[in-house]
Formats: sequence, structure tokens, C-alpha cells
Amino acid sequence: MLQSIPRIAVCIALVLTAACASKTPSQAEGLATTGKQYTTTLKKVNSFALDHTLEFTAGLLPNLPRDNTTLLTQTQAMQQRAELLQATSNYLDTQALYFAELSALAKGDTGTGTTRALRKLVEALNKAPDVGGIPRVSKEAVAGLAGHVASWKHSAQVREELIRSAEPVAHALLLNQHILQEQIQWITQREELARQVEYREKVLKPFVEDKKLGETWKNAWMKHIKQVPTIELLEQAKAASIDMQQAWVNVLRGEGSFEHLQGVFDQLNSNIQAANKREPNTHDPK
Amino acid sequence: MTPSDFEALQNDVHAVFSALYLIDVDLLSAEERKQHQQVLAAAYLAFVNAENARYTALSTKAKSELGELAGHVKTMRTQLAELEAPSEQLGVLGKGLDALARLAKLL
Repeated sequence: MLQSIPRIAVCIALVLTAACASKTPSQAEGLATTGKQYTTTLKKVNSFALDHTLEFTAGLLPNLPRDNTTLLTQTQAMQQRAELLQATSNYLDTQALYFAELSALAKGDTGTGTTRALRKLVEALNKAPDVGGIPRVSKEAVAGLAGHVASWKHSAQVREELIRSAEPVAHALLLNQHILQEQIQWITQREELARQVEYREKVLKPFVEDKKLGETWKNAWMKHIKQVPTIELLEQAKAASIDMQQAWVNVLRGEGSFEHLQGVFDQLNSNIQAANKREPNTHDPK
Repeated sequence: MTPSDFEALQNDVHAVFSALYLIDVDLLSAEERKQHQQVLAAAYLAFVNAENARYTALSTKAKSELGELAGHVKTMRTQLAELEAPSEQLGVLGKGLDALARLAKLL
């Protein structure tokens, strides 16, 4: 009996060690997959925001004065918009790379290449992208987050990396959130205007002019009643973006699962693809 | 001008652009349509430039000049609220063309 106690203790210790050791890599794997899905989704919204604005502007241009100055100034404004969104896209790529390298580190790739890459990526994340109009986010909002790193749940290298990057990554995620909100506003304001014109031209006018109301009118009327799918999609992206910030805190604490978030991002990506394929609004005031 | 003043200005520019965008040009004369095109172009440029260059990205000089222009845009928005006829709305908006063009340039 006395001899068996140490054996039992060793077995328990081994089981506990195995459980602890497997916790970090599986979580990091989840982080890498979810992080990639997250940045991919945000990049799609980013690209959708540009396409949507260009579509609206292209619909508006024929109704503006047909002179060189008008075309030039409107084109320059759109070029500036495209540059802002390109800077955002590059920043999201840096985040995707960071999540992949962190995952490699947690899986045991402790080579100098990985640690050096992580250091450079964190430096890059610390520099907010030059997104001109999009408001800067105060770094104070994420201060003290390094204190959430649960020492006993991570290997020494991962712990050291998480302590260094806890705040820069959280700040980047918060900045993404602000950028997303800004893009949502661009899209929703234009969508709402296009919707009102579409109602006037395709629903109200044929109705009051006592014209024959066919299938086209019926579909236009029904479409007006339903919630705009684009806006619904952007609300989902906003919620998923907030969840991602919570997921990062969970990573620091060595808690949580990514299954729920992965499902959300999968759904969002297919919704964005569907929105891109949909027939665009004319955005034509006439 | 403070960040919240700038936000109010952005809302006013959006309201002015929306009013112009929603005017049914079928109800305007040929001359009024031309005027509508000009003001619509200036208002949309001011709207997009305000989105591109939010408060934090503006120079101190621009911020102080914006204060004066914000007053003009606010007046236009207030006057618009009292009018329903497209030609009357265009009358108010047409008078603000200069302010909108200056605003678009400044942002």
C-alpha cells in the first residue's frame, strides 16, 4: 500500500501535466484558425466597404456636372478612400501573421526565427495604420491587460510573448472595431438613401400613377418591407469583432474555446460572399 | 472646434447631402436641374472628404476655419426642415453652394 501511493501520485501528476501541456497548444491552434478567419472576414468587409462606396459614387456621377473638375475631384476623393482601406488591409495582414506565429510558438517552435518574427510583428502592430479619417483609439483603453496572463497555463516562452503583446494586440483589435464601425456607417447611410429612392421610383410612383402593378412592383414592395440584408450582415460582423476581443482576453487567461467563434466567422464569410453576388442597388437618384 | 462639434458638422453635411439626393429631379425645371447637379457634387464631396478626414487628422488651421463653415451648414439644415417643395429646398441649398465647396476643399 505504502509503495503504491507514490505510483498513484506519479500517475496523477503525469495526467495533470499532460492536461496542462495540451491546453496551450490546442488553444493556440484555435487562436491561429480563428485569428485567420477573423482577419479574413474583416478584410472582406473592408473590401466590401470600398466596393459599396464606389458603386454608390459611380451611380451618382452621371447626375453631377459633366466637367473635368467634377470628375477629377470625385475621383481623387475615392482614390484617397481606396488608400485608407489598403492601409487597413495591410494592418489586418500583420495581425493574421502574428496569430500564426504565436500559434507556432505555442506548439513548441521556439526557434529564434519565430521569436524574432513575433517581435517585429508586435512592433508593426504598435504603429497604427495611416487611416487618416478613422479615429485613433486611446492606448489607455487596454492598459493593464498584461496582468491577465495566467502564468501557470502557458509555457515560459508563450507567457513571455503574451505579456509583451497583450496590450498591442488588444489595441489592434479595438482599432479594428472602430474601423469596422466607421465602415458600417459609410455603408448604412448610403444604403438608406438608395433604399428611399428605390421606394419612390419603383413602389410609390407606379402605385399613385395608377399603373398596372406587375411582379416587379410586387417584389420591389416586398423588398422594401424586409430588413436590408447588407446591414444585417454588418451587424453580425460587429458582434463577431467584439467576441474576438473577448477571445483574446481568454487566450491570455488560458481559458475558453474557439469553436463558437469559428462557426460565426464561417457563416459571416459565406454571407459576405452572397452579398457580393447580389444585384447591387442602382444608387441612382433619378 | 471640438471632436463633438466636428461630429455635429458631419451630421449636418450628411443631412444636407441626403436632402439633395432625395430631391426628385422630375419635379425641377431644366435650369433647376443644373443647379441641383452643382450643389449635389459639392455636398457629396464634402460628405466623402469629411468621412476620409476625421477630426484627429485635421490641421489646427483647418479646425478653426471649420468653425465658421459649420455655422453655414447648420443654418441650411435648419431652413431645410421647414420646406417641402423641391424647388424651395433647392433655393436654400443653392445659396449654400459656396460654403459646401469651401468645406470640401478644407477637409
